Amino acid sequence: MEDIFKRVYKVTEVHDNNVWEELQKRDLVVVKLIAIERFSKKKLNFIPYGHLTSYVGYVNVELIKYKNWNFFAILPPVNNMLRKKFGLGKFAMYIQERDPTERMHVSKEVFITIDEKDVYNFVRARANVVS
Amino acid sequence: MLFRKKFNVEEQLTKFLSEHQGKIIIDGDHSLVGISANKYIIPGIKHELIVDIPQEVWKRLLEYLNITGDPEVLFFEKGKVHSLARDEAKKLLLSKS
Repeated sequence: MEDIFKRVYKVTEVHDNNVWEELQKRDLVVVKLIAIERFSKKKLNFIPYGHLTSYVGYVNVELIKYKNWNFFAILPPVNNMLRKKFGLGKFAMYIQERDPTERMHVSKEVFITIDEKDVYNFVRARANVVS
Repeated sequence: MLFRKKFNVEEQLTKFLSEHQGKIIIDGDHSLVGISANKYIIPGIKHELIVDIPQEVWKRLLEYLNITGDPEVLFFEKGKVHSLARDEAKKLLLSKS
């Protein structure tokens, strides 16, 4: 997993509790990545880090690390391309659909917008508990 | 009697390059630039070409690969990256076609 993180364009580590302020500076941030099975829609025990970075492009991703979380900021002009294509807001989730009949072949990749309030609550709750 | 017109690689390549005036990556990993650029294969030419790279992405790519100057073409060969001019790249592509 560390190899993939080294390959993104930039890694920014946030040490104190101002991760929310750091995320606010970015135009588009992918906060969650999941892989699901195409027919059953079951969540797979696998996080598609490599697929997201290669789909968006290594040079177009900035990784924001805060404690044990990773946020993927998408850099311009790809952020605008994704926004247009998927109708995204500031925060998004990456979902990869895999086809079990073809050796887990990736059949669909989509981005879904996430409400800013939910991300704020998530980040604030975790930051207070851990610190 | 009908004859199929002979396929001219040089003509096709010249046409392709005139249609894609921006920076080019030859044989590079498409994952580097992702959906920001397009990958093409020209019949008769062994190398894959990545074109239509936005200026911002190109600048970041040069920084990422630690390449100084402002090359027009990047050629990936055996784990190394060579900076080329557009004419040099055309010659290289034709020589190995």
